[in-house]
Amino acid sequence: MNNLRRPPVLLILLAAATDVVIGINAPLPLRAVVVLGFLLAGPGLAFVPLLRIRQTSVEITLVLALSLALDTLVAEALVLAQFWSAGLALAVLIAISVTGAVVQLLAPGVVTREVEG
Amino acid sequence: MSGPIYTHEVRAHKPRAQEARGVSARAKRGLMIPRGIAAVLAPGVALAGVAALWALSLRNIDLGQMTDLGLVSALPATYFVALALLTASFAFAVHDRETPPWVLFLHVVLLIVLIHGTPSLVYGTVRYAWTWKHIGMVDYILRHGAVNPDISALSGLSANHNWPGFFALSALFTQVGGFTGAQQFAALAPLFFNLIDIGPLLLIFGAFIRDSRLRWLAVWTFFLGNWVGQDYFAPQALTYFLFLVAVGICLTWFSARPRPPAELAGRPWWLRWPERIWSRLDAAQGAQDDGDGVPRRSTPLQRVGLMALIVLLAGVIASSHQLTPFMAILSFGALVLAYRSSARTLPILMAVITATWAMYIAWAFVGGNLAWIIDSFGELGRNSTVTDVARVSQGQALVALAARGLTALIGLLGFAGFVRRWRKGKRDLAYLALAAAPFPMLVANSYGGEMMFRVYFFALPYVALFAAALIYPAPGSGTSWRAPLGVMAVSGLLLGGLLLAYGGRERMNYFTPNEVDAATYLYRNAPAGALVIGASDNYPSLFQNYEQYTHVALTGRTAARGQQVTLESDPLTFITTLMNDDTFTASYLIITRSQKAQIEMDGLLPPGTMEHIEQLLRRPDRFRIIYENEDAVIFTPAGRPESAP
Repeated sequence: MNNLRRPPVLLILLAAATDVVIGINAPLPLRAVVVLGFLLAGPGLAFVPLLRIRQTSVEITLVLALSLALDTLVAEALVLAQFWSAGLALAVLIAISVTGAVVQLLAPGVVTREVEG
Repeated sequence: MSGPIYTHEVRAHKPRAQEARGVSARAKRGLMIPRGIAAVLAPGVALAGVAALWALSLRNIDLGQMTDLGLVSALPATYFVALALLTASFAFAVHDRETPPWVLFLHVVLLIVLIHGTPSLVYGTVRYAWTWKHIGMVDYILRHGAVNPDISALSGLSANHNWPGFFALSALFTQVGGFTGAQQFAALAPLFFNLIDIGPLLLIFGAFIRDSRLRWLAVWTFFLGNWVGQDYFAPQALTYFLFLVAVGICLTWFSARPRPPAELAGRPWWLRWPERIWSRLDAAQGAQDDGDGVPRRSTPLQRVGLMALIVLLAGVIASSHQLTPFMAILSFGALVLAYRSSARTLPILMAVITATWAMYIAWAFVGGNLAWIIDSFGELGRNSTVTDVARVSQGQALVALAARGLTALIGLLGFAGFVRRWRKGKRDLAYLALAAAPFPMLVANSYGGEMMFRVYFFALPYVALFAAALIYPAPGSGTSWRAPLGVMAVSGLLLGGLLLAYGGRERMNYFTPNEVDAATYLYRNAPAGALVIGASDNYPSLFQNYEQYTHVALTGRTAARGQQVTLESDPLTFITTLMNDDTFTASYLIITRSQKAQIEMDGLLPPGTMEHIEQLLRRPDRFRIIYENEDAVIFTPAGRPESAP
């Protein structure tokens, strides 16, 4: 049960939930909450914990900023390449997020040691 | 110079611990509420009261009563009582060092909800004409799967095709979120963007300010002073948030200070002297430093990660908005020039990213607009225009004066607060540099007449910090009972200005469901290649298949020069000629309540002219009404059967 508290596991669960609500074409409120929740937090949660900032308010801010930045860059790249597909953009973002989560799980101390934020 | 830093906290700790033990013992005997609980209980009760009063207010807002003073004229007394209670509660909560941060956070959240959530919840429709145009841009991406940087400037959204980041993001949100269009969530944008700005503001203020009272009062003051309305569904709101985060990271982990004069020997004089001057300013600061220039402890890899994040944010900013990249260059540059940033190449990197985007991706827009961009450079007077209060309605003149008063008040408070902190030995040179950084843009460009507002917007966080410092200039100051009263008095003044300045144009920014129905009918039925004419451009427009139509307005910003004279002298002939142009497959003229409100409020036509024109158009021999409700009417020429839906 302890693992459930760890961001990488939560992130993988969130990514999976996103995939499921889209796969089953869940009704709007549920779908919007889960998918937008993932888009606003997922990509950031994949990498910000690696910075070991340890100050929740700062971490939340950076998670949100990184998530919005990655969402924007992925969506914009597809639009500019005239290769737009919301599904593909989401798949790329899920892949990025899961990659970050796996890095966190496999090598929790590889990037930095814990430092005061 | 007063005593050393954090003296009050050192003094406070021991007695506080003894006091806590005593309080705890008395609390056990049931005589007193423990201090920690009291610090939460009182504001908690107040916040619950504020929420209840606000909820009650929502049921009693009569939008039909809205006058030229805007939303404030339609709000019930309970709303103002809620605001007053919230302000009083915040004033005492922020003053009490025992108040947990989350309680202060809830106060700021409620302030944002009351100011920005009220229109979103009460209107039931998306407010502000530009929001609808941006919804149209998202609609374009969803239909084409691409943007068209070469699209005609006449389309009205050509800049958005060249900086599409925000719209691509919104298209992603729309489609994967299961929405039918961005209008399903765009109304909540002001609430969302204001809420997420709390985080980076705390990051920026937390970089150097150790006094939590000052940090939170600065955040509070920022939201009281943020009247410019750049929080709607637009690229500016997104890039502003990202910009604040980038600045916050820069201040927190990449701050620096000038080297002492002894270390500067041997350097060329032109490098030595500026640094020496800044160094001397620092030396005067001495032990009173509130942390200025001391970066947080971090590992090299942490810094690499954080710098990578800044570069990523810079990329998104440069590809999503025209103005924010320049504000970022100036802000990062100001920090470097003031020797406050160790990331010395960051402004250059930001400039390279910005120039690369402008030259290779957005050249269609930049090249086509280069003439007027160069033309407006150096035109300080033209770039700093404000509303002509002699031309607008009485209510709007008051609103314009309130906006100016609020701006001046924030500026004066900021100046006074800066002086007060200076006298306490605190230089805040990084914040000073950041506050000054946006001002050169006044010389660079008019930005469609909005540059002054944007400069204010980008300087606001730091000016708000200085304004808050007037009450809490140093950790040991502002301890008397007068401080919360000062917070209440200043907040009351700022709130009065904010309610008028931010919500003062809501009579035209609000679109009734009837108006939205009329516009929806028009776009659902107009054939591709049609001409869509608005009495002004203030109506829900361009939100569907926008590139298939040509949009013009009889009055306002997009109306052709000289057109108004003809319109006023012989409106029937002018409109008949315009609408019978065979270049278009069909033509429609839409007149709405909000357009009339804008024409009246901004004095675009002499009083009664639009009503007179509408009466003339109702002549069945020339025009047919194809749609009409209480708030909108759509005309088409009687002799063009193809215009009939």
